[in-house]
Amino acid sequence: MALINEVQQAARGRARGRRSRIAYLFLLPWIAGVLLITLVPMVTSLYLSFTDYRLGTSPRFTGLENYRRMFSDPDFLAAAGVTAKYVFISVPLQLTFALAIAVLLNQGVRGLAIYRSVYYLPSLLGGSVAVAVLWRQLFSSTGLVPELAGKLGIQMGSWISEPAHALDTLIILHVWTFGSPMIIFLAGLRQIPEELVEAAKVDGAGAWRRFTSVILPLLSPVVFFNLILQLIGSFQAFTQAYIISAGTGGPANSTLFYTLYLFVTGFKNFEMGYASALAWILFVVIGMLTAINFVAARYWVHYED
Amino acid sequence: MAMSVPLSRLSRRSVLRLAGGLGAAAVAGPALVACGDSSGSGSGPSKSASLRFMFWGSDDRVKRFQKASTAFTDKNPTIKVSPEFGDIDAIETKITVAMSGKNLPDVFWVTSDLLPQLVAGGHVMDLTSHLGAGKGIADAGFSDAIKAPGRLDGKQYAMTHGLQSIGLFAKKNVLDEVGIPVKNYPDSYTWDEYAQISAKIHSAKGDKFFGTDDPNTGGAADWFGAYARQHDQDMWAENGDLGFTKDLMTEWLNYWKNLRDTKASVPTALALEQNPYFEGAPMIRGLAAYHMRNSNQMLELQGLTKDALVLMPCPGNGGAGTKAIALSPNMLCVAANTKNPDAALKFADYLLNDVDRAKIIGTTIGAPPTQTVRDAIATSVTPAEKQFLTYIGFEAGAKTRPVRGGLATSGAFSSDMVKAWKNLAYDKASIQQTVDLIFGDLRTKLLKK
Repeated sequence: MALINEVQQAARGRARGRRSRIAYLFLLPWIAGVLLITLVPMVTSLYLSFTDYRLGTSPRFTGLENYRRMFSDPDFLAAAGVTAKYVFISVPLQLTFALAIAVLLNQGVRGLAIYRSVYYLPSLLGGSVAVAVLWRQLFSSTGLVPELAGKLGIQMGSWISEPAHALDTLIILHVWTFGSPMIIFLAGLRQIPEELVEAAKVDGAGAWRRFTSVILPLLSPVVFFNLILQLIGSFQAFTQAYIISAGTGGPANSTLFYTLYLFVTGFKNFEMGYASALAWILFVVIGMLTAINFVAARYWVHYED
Repeated sequence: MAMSVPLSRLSRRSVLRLAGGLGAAAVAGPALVACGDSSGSGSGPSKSASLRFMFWGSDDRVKRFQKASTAFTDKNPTIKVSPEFGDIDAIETKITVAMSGKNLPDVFWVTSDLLPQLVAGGHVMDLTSHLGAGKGIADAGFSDAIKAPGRLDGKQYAMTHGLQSIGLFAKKNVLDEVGIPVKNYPDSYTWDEYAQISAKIHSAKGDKFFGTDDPNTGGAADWFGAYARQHDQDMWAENGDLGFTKDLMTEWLNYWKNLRDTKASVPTALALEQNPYFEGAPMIRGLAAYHMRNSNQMLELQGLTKDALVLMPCPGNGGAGTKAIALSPNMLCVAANTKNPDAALKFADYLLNDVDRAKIIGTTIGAPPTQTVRDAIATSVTPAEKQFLTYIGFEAGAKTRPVRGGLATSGAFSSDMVKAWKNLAYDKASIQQTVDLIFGDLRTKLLKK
């Protein structure tokens, strides 16, 4: 009997081993991809961030010089400022807008699938070159937006080429692409148990009270999820500013997103060492903000379990 | 450990946390990865001569080069050419990345800003010993001035493929309406005349029409380069340092400030609400009489308007100023590590000297570098192109001072200088601050080894 058990165990072990090998075989392309096109370049860029490296030449180790340089680099400071403004204005605006639309769509409207698709569409197009070009046309002095504003008695020039307003157009573009968080909010809203909302209603809670005291707390994990994703995505916004400013971050640095400055430094000015340092600072900042958010989430995100 | 939890037992919390973490990694990773050193792989050794040819330009130019490449293969069946193309910025980026990965195309265009960088890294073939009948690239008819832009340290690393320079475009009907004469070589407006004329046009045509666009905010540093040459200075000194004085730069910036203040030039915000060239050029958009850009754009600009255009010299480049004329041609390189050097040289020779090729390409890349080929295509081009050929013909034959190349950092310097000019035009800095920046931080970066 013991022998039979041993034989069976050995057979099971061999089968498990075979299954593991097959599993690793299937995982191999992913593992190779992560190693070759993510980890190796990441480690390389970390090393390069401590060097003076121009494309086409050999890297020369300079220690922390690239990191020190940032503090006296006006373009770095401008890029950090523009990006911070963009992130901290556009993300809350976009999430608020997305949540509001999701709540409206969750009221049992007919043709929900159509509305959902229509509102989601800008999310698919938002980061595209075509939309950035369209935006440029819409907000130029002869574009549709100034024309409509003129009919309402509001005189506005070309927002695209005015340093005071160029970033505003990019914030509006970001808010307009609210479809993706909206879909996630809508899915979250649909998971909220109807009986809890009904119970609050029976207890005399009005619509606003039901929203703030029942729906929002139950939805907070989804809000948190959207917040993290949008925060990270917004720090890395690039295409819109690249197209609208013709790759310059202008007018007068007003749309110089961090990633755009990183690109210009690396691929226009060929300062790959400095660009690598810029990339690592971005990585660290995003990592820290994400960590802070996770800590803060303990105080406002409520999980059912 | 979280990964070992069965999916069915995952809580909402763990799913969201996992997704958040993965999201952070997925979204933040590429910025770091983008800066890593990617080593591109070569196309591999091949016995059949297969060449990659990279250039930049519009759809029309792409079609023409595809046709020319096919015509070359028809003449040389053993050599296949694969054109690679994109807009100039994308191609510059591709070349720099390919340079880093030692995967440059066999034959490719290069900007004058990028050439010193390529030479410094040993990425382009020294063509000096391959020039001459039977040596690879025939250079009969290539004057010294035509070859100069591709020469560094006495060696020929690039050959002029399409001749071009700066040129002043105007709508003839506007000039006639306001009573302003057209100037052709050997004459030109003086800079003072140009300011007066531009102001006069604004006065005559009303508040929404201006005399000229502003090349400084339009991103073209060549116009200041011309101004410097007219004052016996230059963009670059022999050692690669700045070749102009603070006083000259101040004078230039004051000149353009005066044009903005008098509304002789298009307001900056209005000019830059579109990319200020081709269909976005203020002249094409009906905002200005003059457009300061590259002379080889004559054909494409004429195609964008029904009004007849005229091409005139840069102010100050006529009269006694013709010695200041500078050509800034499209240049052709051969990769140092090409696996098919003979085929690459043969293709380069075809691109530079073949009359049939020149007829296919026309003047969109600039004029053919030799008078023989220019004469050969003169009968088959449009009137607009003829104007350009006459214009460039004069410049190519003029006795001029040689143009000096810059350091490997000169491209980045020019971009930063244009950016500083734009900040000035937007009143984000004073002229003094702009000049101090150029001669301070920007110069330090230029000279950094």
